[in-house]
Parts: sequence; structure tokens; C-alpha cells
Amino acid sequence: MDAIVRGLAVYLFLLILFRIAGRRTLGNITNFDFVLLLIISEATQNAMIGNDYSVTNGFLVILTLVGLDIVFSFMKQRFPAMERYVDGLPLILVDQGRPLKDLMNRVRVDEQDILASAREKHGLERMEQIKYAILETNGMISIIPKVG
Amino acid sequence: MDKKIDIEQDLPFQYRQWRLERMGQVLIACCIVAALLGLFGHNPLSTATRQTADGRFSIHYDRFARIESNSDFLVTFEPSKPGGGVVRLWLDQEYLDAFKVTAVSPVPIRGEARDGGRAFVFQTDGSRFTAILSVQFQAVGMVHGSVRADDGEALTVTHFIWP
Repeated sequence: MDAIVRGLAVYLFLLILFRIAGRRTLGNITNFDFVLLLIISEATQNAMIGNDYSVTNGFLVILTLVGLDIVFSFMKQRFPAMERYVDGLPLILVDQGRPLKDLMNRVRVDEQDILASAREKHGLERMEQIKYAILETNGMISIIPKVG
Repeated sequence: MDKKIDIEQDLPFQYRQWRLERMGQVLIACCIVAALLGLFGHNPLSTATRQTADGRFSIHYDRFARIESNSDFLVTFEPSKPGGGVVRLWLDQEYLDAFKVTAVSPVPIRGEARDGGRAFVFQTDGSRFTAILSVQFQAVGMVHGSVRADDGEALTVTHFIWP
């Protein structure tokens, strides 16, 4: 029982924490973000396992985490309103070549991030060549170029 | 917003989310400050001291501690009768059920038990001395207990144990 309660607590804690931190935390991972993720996983490991190093306990924690993930994905499909709260919604940051500054500031994305994304994905050079730039729920910026 | 792109964007919802995000960030900051001020234990600021009216027996303990984590009690005795002898540190049974004692320094010469409590018996030379009990709490929430030296005045201590 202990393992399941611990798994549940850590799952919900991380879900809420990363929702608060904003989606840029996991998208566009820098080297340091990667190190940070490793440290976080190290710290949560102890909280989930406690001082019971048995295989059974490890399996129970893993089963709890995977089970929760399955439950959440079912519920998100069933109740789209819940998906909004868990995953957030996509957000248009550039509309017809015009950067929407207020929205960009709020999600901590600057023009350089958008241009970098445009270069990587479509070889675009300037903001005017972008029709839409959208911050997706997974933290990535997708770019739709202007045609012609 | 442009209708040519089929996207589930909801700006009022988004603004509400950002407000929640901001509140969450304030909450994170509050938790960090509270931890620095000792609310979650493992902090000098979260300790407390109780002392008998005659000042001969006192206990210094963690008001806030965490389950299965180390916590130390520092007890100070001043034996009432001069000369060597033994001092018994009595802890009530319910209190002992809330933690396990991992180490006692100095090592007691023996343990004693009676209805409702157990004692660590220390050899003394009659002068003031201190003993340290290292414990690991096994229960969550409020833990109350009483501690006494020999049959003197009992000191009640209260801990809050975080999960």
C-alpha cells in the first residue's frame, strides 16, 4: 500500500509542479535542463522507494505510475475539459508574420526562439516569412511558413 | 483570431491558467521560505526546549520532523542526590510506539519496563550530564509524549511529523 500511495503522491506532485512551471520547462531542453531532469529523477526516486529496496516494491511503484498514466489518458479522451487542465492548450504566438508580444512574454518565448525554430524546421530567414508560429502543448514551437 | 488555422486556442482560458500559474509560483516561493524558517524540520529554528520547574531536567527536541528520518533529543539531567547512582529516563508507551530509537549516547546500562512506559537507565557520578537519543519517527501527524527523569515532573513534548 505504501508503494502505491508514494507513487500516487509523487505523480500528482510532479504533474502540478510542471504545470505551474510552464511548458517551456520541458520543451527546448538545454544541457542544463537535462541535468536538472536527472537531479529531479534522483530526488524523486528516494521519495517513491523509501527504504524498501525489494523488487516487489519497485514493481509496485512502476505499476502505479504506468497505471496512473493509462487512467489519465483514458480520462483525457473521455473528458476533453480535463485535457485542457492537464496538458494546456496550444497558443498562437505569430499571426501572419506579426509577433504577439504580450502572449510571448507570458510564456517566456522571445522572437529569437521563434526564428531559431523557423530556421531549423523550414530554413526561414525572417519573421515576415512566418504565417503562424504556435506554441504546442508539449512545449515545442511549430512553424507554418507563408506560401510563395 | 484568424479562422484559417484549425486550432483549439482559448485565450480567456489561457489567461485564467496564467493566473493560476502565478499563484502556484507564489506558493512555491512560500514553501521554500517556510522550509528555510523550519516548518518542515531539519532546521535549528524548528527545535524547542522544555524544562521542569526546578530546572533539573530538560529536553531539547524537534518540533517538526519527518517520517523515517533522523531526529535527535538532547536530554539534560541534574541528579537531585549527590554521589553516583543511576538515573532513569522514562518515556511513555504511546510515545515510544511513534518512533524507533536508533542510538542512545551514552549507552544506557540497561533498560527497564513498567506498565505504560519504558526507561533507559544511565549510570551517573552525580553531576549534571546530557544524553542524546537518536530516533526515527514511524507515524505521521501530531505525536504527543511525556518524558520524565526518575519519578520527577513529566515534560510533555509535541512533534509534528511530515510524511
